[in-house]
Amino acid sequence: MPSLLPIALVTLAAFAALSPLLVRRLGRDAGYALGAVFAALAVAFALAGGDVLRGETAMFSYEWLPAVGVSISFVLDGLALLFALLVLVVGALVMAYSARYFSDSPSLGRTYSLLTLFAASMLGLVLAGDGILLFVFWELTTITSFFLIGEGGGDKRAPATRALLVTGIGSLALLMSLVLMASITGDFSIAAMLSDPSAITGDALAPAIFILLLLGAFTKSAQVPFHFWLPGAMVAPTPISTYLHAATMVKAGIYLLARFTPLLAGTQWRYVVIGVGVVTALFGAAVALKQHDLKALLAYSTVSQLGFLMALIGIGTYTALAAACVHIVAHGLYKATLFMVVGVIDKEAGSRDIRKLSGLRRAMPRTAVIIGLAGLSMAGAPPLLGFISKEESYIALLEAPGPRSLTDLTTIVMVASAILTFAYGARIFLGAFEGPLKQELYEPATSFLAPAAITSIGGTILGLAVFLVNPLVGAAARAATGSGDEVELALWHGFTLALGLSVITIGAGVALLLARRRVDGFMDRLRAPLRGRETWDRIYDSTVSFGKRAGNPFLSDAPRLHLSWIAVALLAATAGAFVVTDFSPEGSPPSPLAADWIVMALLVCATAGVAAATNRMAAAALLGATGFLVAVVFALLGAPDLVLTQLLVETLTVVLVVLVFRRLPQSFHPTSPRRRRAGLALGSALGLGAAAVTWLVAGRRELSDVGAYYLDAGPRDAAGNNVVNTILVDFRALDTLGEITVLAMAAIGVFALVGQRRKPK
Amino acid sequence: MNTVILRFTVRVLTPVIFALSVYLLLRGHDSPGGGFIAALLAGAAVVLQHYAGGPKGALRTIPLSFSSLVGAGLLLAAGMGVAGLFAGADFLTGGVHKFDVPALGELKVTASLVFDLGVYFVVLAVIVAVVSHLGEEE
Repeated sequence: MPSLLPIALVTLAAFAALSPLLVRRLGRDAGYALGAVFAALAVAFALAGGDVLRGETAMFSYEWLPAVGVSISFVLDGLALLFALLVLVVGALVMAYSARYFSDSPSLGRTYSLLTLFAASMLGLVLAGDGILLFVFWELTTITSFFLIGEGGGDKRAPATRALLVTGIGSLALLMSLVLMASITGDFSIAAMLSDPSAITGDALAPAIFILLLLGAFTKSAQVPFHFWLPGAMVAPTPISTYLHAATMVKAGIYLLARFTPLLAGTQWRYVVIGVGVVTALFGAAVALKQHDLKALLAYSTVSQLGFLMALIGIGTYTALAAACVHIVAHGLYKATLFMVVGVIDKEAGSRDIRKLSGLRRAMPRTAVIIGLAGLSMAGAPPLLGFISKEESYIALLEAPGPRSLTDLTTIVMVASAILTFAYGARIFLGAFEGPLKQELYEPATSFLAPAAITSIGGTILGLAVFLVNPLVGAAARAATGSGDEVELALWHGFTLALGLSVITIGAGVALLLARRRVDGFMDRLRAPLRGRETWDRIYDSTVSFGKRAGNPFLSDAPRLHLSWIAVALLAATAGAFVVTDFSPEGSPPSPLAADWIVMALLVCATAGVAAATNRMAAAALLGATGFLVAVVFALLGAPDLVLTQLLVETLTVVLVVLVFRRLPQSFHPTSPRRRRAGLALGSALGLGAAAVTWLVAGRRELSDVGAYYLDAGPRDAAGNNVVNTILVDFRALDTLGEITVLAMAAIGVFALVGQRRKPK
Repeated sequence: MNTVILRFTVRVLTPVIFALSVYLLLRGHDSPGGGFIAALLAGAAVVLQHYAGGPKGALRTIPLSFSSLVGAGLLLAAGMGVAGLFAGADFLTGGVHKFDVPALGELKVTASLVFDLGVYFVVLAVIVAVVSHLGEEE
């Protein structure tokens, strides 16, 4: 089954390319066709999964850049299978949901295309067995996410850019971390990095490796203080928020650290993960409770749940990983449901504001059941999957290794965030569905509601029949930790401390609910001392303005300013060369010919003429004259190739300059004597510097090795006697190819700037 | 400058310049010349045409559009490189073939001539683009 892995990716990529055609043929129903593809792939992975659950791993490998230890390798183990199924199943439902959410429009092809491409990237990310491959897919999810958030432009541009930059910085950190690890293990194989953790944790580079790795994971999974991009990303249409920013992409950071559990487990860095995780969990839950916009509430809830998962990964035991895995499934199901239903409400009732919505239960009984089940699962009420994942998390927290005081604190904060989760979960339902009905509303179409119904009921069934989840979660946790344990998820564990914590969670949650008014008042007064988004924007703006200020001295329409900077730099370089290099002559300079003196005298006259000319055409002609005189110098030195080139270039330059100059006034603008003196001084200094270097260097050394090689190899290897030409078209052909590409761009640039401008007339 | 004498001269000179340009291109591998220089020379013919008959005149007598020249040039240069890959060599590796032509003697054809032709087209394209667009009347 190893070939399934690349085939699945290629299939998704192919359908991403085909999406616009499908949309042209089927309209928005193309979402169903794409959903069917996702579902078929999910079935294929489920069938292939049988072996994986028994502990086997499917591997596919193809050498990509063997010289640097990079290969295209995919690995399907328990952890990868869990995430792959999440990506494909939620993907299939989101595509089916999209087919009813979006209205027919020509740009829908692009949206579907990007969504499918994102699914391929996310699948590639969790299957990648090579660090560079992982990074490439990681970056692809960032880019597709950017385009999906920014779709439509306008006010979506700022949040999309913020998300791109924050996660993009994380991507680069991840890349650096992987490169550092590869420098220790010798290649980019992730299995090799994990097989001997002490080699990496014991290395002097370990702190850098871990800081960069955690930065990558924290930015992607929206951990405090990088969380702010995620609520901003909610400007995207609901199907995109559901898929990328709730169920899959934001879990990439969780996946990354789960994958690197063997490295983290033995180090102190896991306390950083736990710390950031619990802070994020509590912060997200508290802010979620303040929200009135249902989508914003869900966004902060996602931040909080990601923090909860992060803390579990930080604990790093088998039980903790198993709890994290089952929570990933539970969260994927209930959060997808909640997002999709909020999208439905938004479309039907025209608002997402909890203060405006009321009594929807009376008009939409089926919708109410669906959101109720999902909300209860999020709140952690039995017998839903969310209850099991939360209780399993409590077990893991209570068993966590480490200093007692620390684990107790962790547990208390996690329970507190779970209580808040219960409160805001209930708030969605009570706020929007209870109370009197204020508008005329109808139950949405079955086809619109069906995907949410599937995820909602799925979470319920898996809660009741939790033994179905056991093998997958067990295999995933085994793959992450490398231990051989079995997991026993169950609804009823007996009267344990974890059950006690669950009771406290629900009890306190209900209490918060009853004291709603007072809680709301308290939350409204609460203000975070530092606002992430504003701080980021300030940093961003000052970076941009710093760039502007740094560039300002060079921003000018006047060529003389640009030329002065170049001249000054060249003079400084020349002066520097004299300081660091010994220019004492190696031999005697070649003696000049009588003809040389004549040409030089003419050159000086022509140059002085250019400087003195007030008429543009005269200056252009005199400048051409200096060029032709230089050609004469080349001829005297015996370089026919150079003479030809110089003559032709000079001719054409004069012609082109005249073409431009005839549009300008005949005379140059009068300039102040001070500026003329400055120009004269700079020009003379430059000329004298160049002359001095030429005098000291030219003709005083032997043929260089490279020069000798070209002269020798030209006739032998390139079958050409003209060394200039063999260098251009044989030895340095790649350079020449680059140069003519630049020339081609210049030609296109002239066309675009001048040719196009005239078209409208 | 649009005079009878200039027009007549240009009409006579254009084929001569182009012939010389092709000659420089072909001999470039062994003697002074090559794609760059040859294209500059051909560019001189385009400029002369421009002065004799304006941009319309230039493009009428020499039916060259810069876009097809750019495309052809880049395709030829890159294509020669890719062809090397198919021959089992590295990108842009040259090759040489010698024919015995009766009465003329040995004729040498190098793969880099194709590359040089690509350079020729692109350089000529730049000149055509500049002359035909910057040279337009207001």
